[in-house]
Amino acid sequence: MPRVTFTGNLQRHLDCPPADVPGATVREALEAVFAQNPRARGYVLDDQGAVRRHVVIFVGGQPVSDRQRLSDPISPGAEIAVLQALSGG
Amino acid sequence: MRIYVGTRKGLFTIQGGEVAAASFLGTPVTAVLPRDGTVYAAVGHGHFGAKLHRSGNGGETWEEIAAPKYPEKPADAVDKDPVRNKPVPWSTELIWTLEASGKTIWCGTIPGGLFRSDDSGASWSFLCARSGTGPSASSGSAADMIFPASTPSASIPAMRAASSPPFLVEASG
Repeated sequence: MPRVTFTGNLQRHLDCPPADVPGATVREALEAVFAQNPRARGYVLDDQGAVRRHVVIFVGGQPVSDRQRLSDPISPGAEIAVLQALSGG
Repeated sequence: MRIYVGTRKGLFTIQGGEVAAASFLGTPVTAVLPRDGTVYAAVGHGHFGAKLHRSGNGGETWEEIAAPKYPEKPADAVDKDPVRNKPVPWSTELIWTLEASGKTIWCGTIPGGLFRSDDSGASWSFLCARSGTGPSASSGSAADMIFPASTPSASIPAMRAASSPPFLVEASG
C-alpha cells in the first residue's frame, strides 16, 4: 500500500502522521489521506485542487509531473513525500 | 483595553501597556478582528496558504476554522492581471482584512476578492472579485456592490491598494 509522509514544517501547524493508504495515482492516495484528515487538504492543495505553488510532492524521489490533476501513477509500494518547495529570494 | 497586534512574526496581545500574550509565533498574522467576545486571526503560512483561526477566550487558545475559498475555475476561463499581464490565480493567497457589520463578517483577500460569513466564520460565501481580474462576480463587481451604511470603508478590501503593509492593529474595549 502506498505511504504518504509530510514534512515536519507542515506538522508544526497540523497533525499529519505518515499514512498507508490505497491508490493507483497520487491523487487517489492523497484523497484517501484527506478523507481521514480533512484539514490537510487546504495545506497541500490550492482552491482549485492543484498542488500549492510552494509545495512539492515526490514519488520515489522524483517530483510529480502533473501538479494540476496529480494523475501520476504510483505502485502499491510507492513512497509519496509532501514537502515545502525551496522558494523566495 | 486590550489591543491585538498582527505582525509578520505572530499575534501579540497588549494589555496595560505590556505584551500579555503571544500567539502564532513565527507566522505572519495578516488580519485580526475582535468581535462579540470572539477574536478572529488570519495567518499566512506562505508555503501552506492562508488560514483562519478563532478564539473564544481572548487568544488563550485557538481553533482553525474555514478559510475563504475561490470557486472552481471554468476550464475555458482566461483571467489575466491587466497590469502584470500574468494569470490571476483563483485561489486565496492571503487574507488581507477582516471586518464586521452586524452578525456578518467580511473578508478581503489577495487576489482581490470579497467573502462574507454569517455563521461566525464556520463557512464563507464568495461575493465578488476585483473588477477586471479574478473570478467573475456572482453579484457584480466590487465597484458595483452596495454595502450597508454602517459598513466601514475598510470592509471593501478588494479595492484597497495592494502595496500597503499586510498587517492590522485592532482594539477592543
